[in-house]
Amino acid sequence: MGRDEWDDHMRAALAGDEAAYRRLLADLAGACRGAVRRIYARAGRSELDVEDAVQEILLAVHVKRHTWDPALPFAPWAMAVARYKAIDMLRRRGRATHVDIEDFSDALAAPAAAESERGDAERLMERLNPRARAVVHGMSIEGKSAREVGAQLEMSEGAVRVVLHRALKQLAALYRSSDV
Amino acid sequence: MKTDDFIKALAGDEAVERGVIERSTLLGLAGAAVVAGLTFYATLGLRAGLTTHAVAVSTAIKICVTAPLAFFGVVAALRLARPGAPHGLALFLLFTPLAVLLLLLGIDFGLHGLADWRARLFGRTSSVCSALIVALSVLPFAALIHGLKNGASENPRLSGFVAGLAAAGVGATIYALHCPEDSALFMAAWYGAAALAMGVAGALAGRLLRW
Repeated sequence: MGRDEWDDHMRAALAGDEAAYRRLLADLAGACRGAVRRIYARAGRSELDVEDAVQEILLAVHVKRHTWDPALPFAPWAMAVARYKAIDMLRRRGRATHVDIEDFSDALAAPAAAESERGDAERLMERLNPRARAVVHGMSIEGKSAREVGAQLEMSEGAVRVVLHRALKQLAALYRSSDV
Repeated sequence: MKTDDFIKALAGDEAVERGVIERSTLLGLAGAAVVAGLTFYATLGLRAGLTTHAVAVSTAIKICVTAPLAFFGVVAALRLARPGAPHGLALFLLFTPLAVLLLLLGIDFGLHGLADWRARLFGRTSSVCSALIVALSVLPFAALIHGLKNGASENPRLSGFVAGLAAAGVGATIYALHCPEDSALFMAAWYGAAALAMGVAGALAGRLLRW
């Protein structure tokens, strides 16, 4: 997918097209992975942390997507979010480094490593309440739909989505306040 | 966790908080301004003779500085809350109140030169003016920060600074309805000090806007 296609995908995603949103996030993950790898190499950080960083950026993109103005192109917005989070992650770990806007604007997409090594997401999920954890786990690692998770937890599909929404916002806050 | 799995959870969350930055910021600010205004009305009260021509004109001139500070401050703060959105123009327009103030200062010096500059600078209320403006700005400032937390400023310190200026604009607009001073020199010094203090406080509070 070219970056010029991001706009349409994001507009579709905001209108409720889940498939378009998945494709966009996967594409964005590739672009961020290339950029983060470059930045982490320069900052002397382990290559192993890259996937955790990509996931944190995707979560920030997700919980802040309402701050994108659909009248403007999506790529500069997404890259600004990614750059901010990259700087924030390095600063949290006490490493000052320069992050150029070019790191993100030029980054070539990179394929995913098999899995995040350190598992920040799982570790922070432990701090959600049990029901929220079950919903996030069911919809991510188990790959279930909201309806399936609802059936399993004896909740309506709508209630599952409400729990998921709150859980993701809370997860974003946990990333921010953690020292991971 | 695999990033692809992580994405599945994100894609399952369809709730988009569209327009929440503007809605929460503006509603909160309006509420805060009303409370600050009522408190002001009950304690300080309106300036005596506000309905007479001379006093009304003097007050209107002050509001020509303070209202643009509030308006363009809020506009710029909202703009800064959106990553990647061009904000050069919004920040440039924030100089509007400064330009009006400099114009008023120019006219003041043109008319009166340096005569009685001490009296013009200090007036009778210089000891309380800045503090009262800051006091009237606190609630609007809190409302602005609370609303802007829904945004995603790339530069939280700058956003906080701008929010502080905007809040000072609101507080000063209210205070102008009471302020018995008519000199531009007075306004530049004491309104300016209050705006600067709020701006600095905002920059320091900018970490609240990290996300």
